[in-house]
Amino acid sequence: MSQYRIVVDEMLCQGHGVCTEECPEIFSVEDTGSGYPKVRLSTDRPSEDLLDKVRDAVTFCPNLTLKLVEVD
Amino acid sequence: MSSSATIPFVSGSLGPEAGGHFQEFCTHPAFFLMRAYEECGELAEFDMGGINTVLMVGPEAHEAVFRVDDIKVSAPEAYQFMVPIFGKGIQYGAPLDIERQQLRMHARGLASEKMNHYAPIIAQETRDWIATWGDRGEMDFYEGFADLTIKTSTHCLLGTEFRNTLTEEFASLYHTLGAAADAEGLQDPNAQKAAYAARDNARSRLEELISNHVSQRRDSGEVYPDLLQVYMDTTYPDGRHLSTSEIAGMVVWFMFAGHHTSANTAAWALVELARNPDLAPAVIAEVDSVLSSSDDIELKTLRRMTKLEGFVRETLRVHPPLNTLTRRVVEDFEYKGHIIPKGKNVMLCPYVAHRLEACFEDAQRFNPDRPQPENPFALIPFGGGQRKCVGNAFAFLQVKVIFSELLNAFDFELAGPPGEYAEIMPSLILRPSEPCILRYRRRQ
Repeated sequence: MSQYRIVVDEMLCQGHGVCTEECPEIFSVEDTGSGYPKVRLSTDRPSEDLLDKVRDAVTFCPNLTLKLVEVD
Repeated sequence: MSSSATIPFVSGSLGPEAGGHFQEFCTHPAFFLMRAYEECGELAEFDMGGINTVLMVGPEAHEAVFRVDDIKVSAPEAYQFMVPIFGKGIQYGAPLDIERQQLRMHARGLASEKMNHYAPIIAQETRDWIATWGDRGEMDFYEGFADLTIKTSTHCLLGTEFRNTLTEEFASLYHTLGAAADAEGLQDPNAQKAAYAARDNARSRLEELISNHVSQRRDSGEVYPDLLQVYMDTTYPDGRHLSTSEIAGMVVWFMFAGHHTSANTAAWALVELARNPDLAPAVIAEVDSVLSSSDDIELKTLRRMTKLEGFVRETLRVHPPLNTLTRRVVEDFEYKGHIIPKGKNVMLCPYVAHRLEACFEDAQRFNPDRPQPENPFALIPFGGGQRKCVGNAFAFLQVKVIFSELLNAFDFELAGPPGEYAEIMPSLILRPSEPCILRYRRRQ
C-alpha cells in the first residue's frame, strides 16, 4: 500500500486556515509573532483514513502551500 | 559584467531626455509590457523615465523575485508612491518589521473562520441590490459593481453601524484617493498638482471619519465580529495597540487593495459569462443546486463550487486587475547568469505571465475548465510569496457570493457587440471600458 507524505512550502503560507477547517486532525495555524501565521502539522505522514481530508486541504489552500506526495 | 550588455533593451525609447519608455508605458502598461516581452523574451529592459526597469517573465523568474529577501530586492523602496495614500507609519511607510506585524493583523481579520461572518453580509448586500432591479433592464455593471463592493467592503470591514451611515462623502473621498494613484506618481508622488493636493485632503478627512467611528465604538464598549475590531484589539509584540491614525491607514489599505480589484473582476466575470453563453449553464446549474438547499452558503460549500471557482480564476487569468508588480534592486540581483545591478527596478506582469503558452495551453481562449497550474508561480493575479495579496481568499469569496446571488436570480446578455468590452488602463488597474452595459432578465 502506498504511503503519503505532506510537504509544506512555508514561504507561501499566509495562515488562511483553510487546511485547519478541512482537516483539523493534521493541520493547525500558529501565530509566529513576527509576520504571517504559519501552518503546523501534527504529523507529515497522514493515516489512510485521513487521506481524503488531507487531499481537500491541499486542493483548497488558496496559496498552494501544501503537496501530498507518494513515498516508498 | 554589465547587465545592459546582456539583457535586451526594448525598442521605441524616446531617449533619456524625453522619459525613455515612460510615455508609452503610461498609455497602457499591460499592452506595453506585452510588447516588451514579445520583442525581448524572458528579460526585457526599459527606461521608466530615469529608472531602468527589467521585466521578468515566466514562473521561474517570478519565483526568483518572490523568494529573494525583501532587503535585497525591495517592495517598499519601489512603492513609496503609495505612502501618501495609506499614510505614514503604514505598510510601505513603516519599517519592515512593523509592516510585517500589520500584515499579521490583516491575516487575522481575513482568516477562514472570519470569512464565515463575511459571506452572509456580502450575500445580503447583493440581494438588497438586485431587489431594486425590476424584472428586466440594462445597467452599467462596472459602476454597479464598484458601488456594490464599496458597500460590501465597508460592511465587512467597519461593521453594520458604519455601513448604515455610509455617506456619499466616504465614497467620494475614497474615489479621490484612487484618482491620485496614477503612473506619474511612480516618478514623484509629491509633485505639485491638483490631484495630489486633493489626495492629501481626502486622506486627512477619511482619517477623521474613521477615527470618530473608532472612538464611538470604544466608548460604547461593544465588540463586533469585523475587521475593524481586529485592528482595534490586536497588538504589536510589545503590547502596543494600533493608534487611531494607524487604524485609519489599515482601513484605507484594505479598501484600496480590495475594492476596485474585486469590482473589476466581478464586471469582467459577468462580461465573460454574457459573451460565452455556451459556458454559462454549467456555472448556473452549480449555483442553483447550492442555493436550492440553503439560503446562506457556507464557506465549505463555497470552496466546493468548482465551476464558479474555475470561472472566477479564469477571469483573473485573462483580466488580472494589477499588472505591474515592482521591486527596487537594493543589492545586485543575479538571475540565470545576469546581474541586475542595484538601483534598477524589476517588474512582473500578470497580464503577460497569464498569456504564456508554456503555462496555459491555448492561452488566448477563455476556458473556465482549465486546471489550476501546479506551479504556484504561474498564475499570479495576487502576486506571490510573502507579498502575495493577503486578501486573495476574501476576493474569491466576495466574487463567488455575489455571482451566486446574481446567477440564481437573473440571466445576462451583452448589450453591445462583444468587441466593445475592451481592456483599458486609465490608472494602474486594468478595467473594462465604459460604458460596460449588460442586459438582465429575471429567470422564470
